[in-house]
Amino acid sequence: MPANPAQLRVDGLTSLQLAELRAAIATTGSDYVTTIDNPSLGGGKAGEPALLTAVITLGPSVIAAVALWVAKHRKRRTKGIRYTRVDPNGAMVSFEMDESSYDEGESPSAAIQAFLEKKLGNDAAATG
Amino acid sequence: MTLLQRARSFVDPTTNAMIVSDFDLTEYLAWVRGRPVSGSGVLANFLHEWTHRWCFHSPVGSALALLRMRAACRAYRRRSAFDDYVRCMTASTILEPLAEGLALFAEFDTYPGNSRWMSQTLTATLIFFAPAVETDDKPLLLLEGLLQALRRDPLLLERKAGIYAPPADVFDPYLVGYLSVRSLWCQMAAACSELNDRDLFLSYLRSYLYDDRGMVLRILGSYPSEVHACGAIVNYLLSRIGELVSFEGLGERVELWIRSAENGHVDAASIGAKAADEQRAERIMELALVADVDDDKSETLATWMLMTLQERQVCVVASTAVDLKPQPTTDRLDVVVPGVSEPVSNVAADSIGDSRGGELVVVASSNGHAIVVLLRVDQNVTLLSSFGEFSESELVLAKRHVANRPVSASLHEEFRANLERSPVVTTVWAFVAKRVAPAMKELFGPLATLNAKECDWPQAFSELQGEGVFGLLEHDGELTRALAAIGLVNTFSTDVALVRMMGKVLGVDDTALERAMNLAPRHGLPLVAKKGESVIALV
Repeated sequence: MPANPAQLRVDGLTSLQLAELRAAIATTGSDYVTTIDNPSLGGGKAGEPALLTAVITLGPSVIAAVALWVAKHRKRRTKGIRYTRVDPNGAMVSFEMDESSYDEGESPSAAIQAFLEKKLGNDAAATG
Repeated sequence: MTLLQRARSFVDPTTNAMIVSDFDLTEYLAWVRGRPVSGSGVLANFLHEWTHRWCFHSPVGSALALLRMRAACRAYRRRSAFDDYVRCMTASTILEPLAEGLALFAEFDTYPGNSRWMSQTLTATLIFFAPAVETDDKPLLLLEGLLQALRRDPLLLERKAGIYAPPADVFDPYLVGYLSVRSLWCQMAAACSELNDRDLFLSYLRSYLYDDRGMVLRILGSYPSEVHACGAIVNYLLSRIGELVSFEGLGERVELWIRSAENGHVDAASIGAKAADEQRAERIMELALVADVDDDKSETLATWMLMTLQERQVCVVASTAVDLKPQPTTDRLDVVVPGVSEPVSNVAADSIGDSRGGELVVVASSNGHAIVVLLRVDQNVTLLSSFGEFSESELVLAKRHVANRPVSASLHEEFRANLERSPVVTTVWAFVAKRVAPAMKELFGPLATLNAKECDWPQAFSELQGEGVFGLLEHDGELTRALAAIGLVNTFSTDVALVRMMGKVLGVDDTALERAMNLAPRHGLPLVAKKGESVIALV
């Protein structure tokens, strides 16, 4: 893994989705996931449960794990989950993903992995 | 903009201002003209936030709002805010799981039942979101349709399953509160069949907690020190919940509650409170309001607090900036939302000054039975349209609130920021954490696990505090979703065949659903009850 690799930021997760994403990434052998604490509403306000953000350090096995996680969830409506590639120089590119984003073919996870590799850049796929 | 930057929906307990983050006012006004049949994406958030504001629009909610404002005023005038803030934070902290539990119960569970009573949350939902469809004088069909569509939405399932998997090893007010309210419902419905009506249960529990003048007296009463005040608030709630779960005379109380609430005034006896406390609470509120009045400046602050207490009754549902464009052939002005071609309304030019911009505001009446669309141009407020019966006095209040809102909101923000910068806040949080945390466990441990046996609840609660229901289910996400799905379907059916059918609509794994319907208790906590062709989720 390069010293300063690109990252994938996933916004809008429930705590269950985050736990499952963490578990999926953990299968690659390392904990590449950090979470960003959501800001409190402040002022004693009462409101909806906060959604969470995961930041994942990219690598080929990680992309495959993320693709498997997305494939498992693809039949659920995960509207609102947003993916952002964050480059080491701070450049960011955001995208959303649904069934129209990729051609599933026979293996949804392979199709999603190909889509993610395209979106996240070849360096993420090549390094690790 | 990331979703974290997107505003979360919330209710401010001081002003009772409600923000439903995904409410698109222009889209809503276009829909409301014809009320076509269409699902509402904002319904889940609306049910949640309206329930919060309904709770806070109560004697207990008003007492806490007053204390919070008075603490801010005291900090602003460089007087000690410590005692006020301790009381406010103690009561808010210990009530928070119940407030969140009630709001989540409204979102995931409430549904019209057999009683003649309908909660404010469901009444407001019916008035704000029901389509204009002929139902042969059966308006509940519209509400049932809306709620059924919501409860079979996979997005709602994700939201509910998320509650079951809180961050590890923290006291999560959403999970603990939801399990507490749901356990209470199971037990109270078993003790009083009327409360099988989930909507009646929601209304009764909200009233039991927030209409209680005894709590107002503990929040505002005189005590030798803030330690005594904190203890009085906590111990009072513990004893109130203890009385509630004794279920003594519950059937008669509920019947009395319905009769009195229908007449517009909840009988104190119906919620186990003392009638004599009503006048005492009213008096103590008046005294608290003027406690600091000793010069012109403090009199102005007391007036501002009083105006806020009055105006927090009505609710701004949404607002947006508008342009006012002269119509070519009439003396009227079109009200146009920037970026939207079709005007949302129009207004007589001579009723507006020279301004060509304003704010369009939708305001709900205090009981949610009516809404008005108001146009504010500078300090002038004009009524554009209304739905439901908005009383004349509330319309005056709504107009005043909308006219004052820009200034009042920034004042509240300034006072709040000033208070939160004050060292008193850190001291109070440390104080409250030390004194209230043990009571939270004492109260919510048995309550969240009320369906478990006495000997089992400590272990079950300890496991729940670890990693929630998700942890109890060995971190099986599919099983967690399946259990959540059974609960959502239960709002309109307990029939196993229908649960299976709706499970497919919700995108739940078939095998996980079968396992969920046959789940054995975990650490003594029963999670489902299945009998014959009927299944019900207990969490």
